[in-house]
Amino acid sequence: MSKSILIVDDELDLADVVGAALEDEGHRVTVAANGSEGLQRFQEQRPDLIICDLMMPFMDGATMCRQIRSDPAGADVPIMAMSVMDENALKVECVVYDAYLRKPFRRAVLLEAVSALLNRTCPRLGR
Amino acid sequence: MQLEVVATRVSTLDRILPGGFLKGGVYIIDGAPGTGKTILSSQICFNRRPEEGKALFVTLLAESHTRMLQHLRPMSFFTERMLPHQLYFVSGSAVLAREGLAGLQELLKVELKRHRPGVLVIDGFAATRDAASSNLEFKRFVQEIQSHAATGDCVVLLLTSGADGAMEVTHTVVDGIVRLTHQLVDRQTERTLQVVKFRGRGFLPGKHSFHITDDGLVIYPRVEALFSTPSVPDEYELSRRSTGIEGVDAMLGGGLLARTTNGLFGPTGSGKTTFGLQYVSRSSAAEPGVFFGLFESPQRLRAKAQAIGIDLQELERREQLELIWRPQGERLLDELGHEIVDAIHRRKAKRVFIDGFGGLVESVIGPERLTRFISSLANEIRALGAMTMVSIESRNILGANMELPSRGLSSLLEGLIVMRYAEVKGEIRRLISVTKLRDSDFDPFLREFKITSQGLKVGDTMGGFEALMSGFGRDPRATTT
Repeated sequence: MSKSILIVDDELDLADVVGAALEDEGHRVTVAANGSEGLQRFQEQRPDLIICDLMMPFMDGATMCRQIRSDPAGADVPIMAMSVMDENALKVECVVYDAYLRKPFRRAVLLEAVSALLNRTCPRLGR
Repeated sequence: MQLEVVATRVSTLDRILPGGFLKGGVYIIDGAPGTGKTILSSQICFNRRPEEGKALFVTLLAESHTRMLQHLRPMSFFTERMLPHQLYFVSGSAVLAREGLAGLQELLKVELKRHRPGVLVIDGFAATRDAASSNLEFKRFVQEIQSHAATGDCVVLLLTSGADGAMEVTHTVVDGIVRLTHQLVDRQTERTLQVVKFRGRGFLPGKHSFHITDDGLVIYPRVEALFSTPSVPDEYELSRRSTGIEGVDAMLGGGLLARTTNGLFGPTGSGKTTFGLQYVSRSSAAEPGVFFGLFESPQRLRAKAQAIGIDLQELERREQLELIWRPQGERLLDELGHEIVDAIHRRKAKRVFIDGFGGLVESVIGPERLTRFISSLANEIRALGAMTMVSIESRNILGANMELPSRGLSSLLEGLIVMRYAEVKGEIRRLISVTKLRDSDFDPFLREFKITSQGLKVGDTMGGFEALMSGFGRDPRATTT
């Protein structure tokens, strides 16, 4: 089923590649280039899934996600973080994400992770 | 007011720069693609200590920082836990493409306020020039970066790719320029780092060789520049030290002078390495030694020494001797020079044998600098208190034309011992002589020597024979028909 997905990444080339892969699966994709732009898009579009980078200009991914989570409309929206950083180094911040993909990743891994998040039936852990 | 320095902790860069970059300064790191700019600037960022504040790396390149970090990750300086709290990477290429220079200016303003970095790197800086609508706009942009650097106590590193006339405006206003190059010399790649400009302090001039390794840039400051005056005051010492060969000591009037540089010149197979082994066999706790070889491995040297009754391993075990083998391969002259000096520091060595000079000659790119290189290196080694002997191979195996391989070398050597062959009555005999011993008297005779199971043994003069130096000894008493 077609879902709306927001991709937030300052590396637009990479965001475009991820977006194209998701569009091929029939999803609708919006791209934002940084956290503050991502927050704005979230408020405008209420996507079914957010995929965000962590190190970005203007507003980082963690701050954006915290703000989305603090909004009742964003409390349950699945968020997948993607970054070059080691997940272990981000443990404290991972609480606001539902999944983590370490860049670079293969298309199949991305699609599998996206599918798992979109088909999730139980609410987020930690709520 | 004293300008505060920000150390780079990159190899020896802080010796080339005067301790590092100056706080609040804007510097260009310039070089063609592949010269190591990104690695160098990343190293500077990763080498920062937590108390020195954050580093911010803004990339304007087509290559993503994901890819860049992927390539940096295997390098030893890459520290995962520094991301994102001590080192933050952002891409500015999207902003620059969409909103031009004004957008990038805003991005920098926000990010500098958000992270308050001690170091800001802008990789792919040439893209800002392309995005500027006029020279004036570009100049204003550069000025704004300068004021951010000054007010934020931040070192700004702008990475640019090679000579580009359009970037000249930046070159005139920045506080310094470090240029990286790589060029093919014959079939060898030579990488160099040169400080072209550095406001406010002196720096080591000239092109300094470097390698890119798994540890990042490993830089070898040009020996002539670094040791143009020795790092410690030189002292004159009159004491003599044994060469390890009794007969040679006698010819020298008791041995070589401490703190001198001496040559051991002779054709292949004449016994120079054996001489060297005997020389370093006199290493002791009071007089630690270093054998720096370019040709024979420590295993071979140990076996060779054992065959003449010298136990090198015991000296090594007592830490009185270090055998260093640097097979030539792709090594650079300055690299070898620094390794010799480092070994002397490490061992507090007083007795050094370098085997041999030919290896140094073959490592030189730009042979015109060889004499100055040797002179500076010798001055430094002398000042460090070591007596050095360098084996030098002669091109000719036989004959009177035994010429030192480098012009000016003889004046740098304080002592010169020559080994040669001579044919006498159909037999090849080995001869040794002292050709030079500065400020000292010495035995002027050519003496025969033999390589025995106890090493070199010096015998008598070849009395009665003449023209031995021609390589063909003649007995004047013999009747000619």
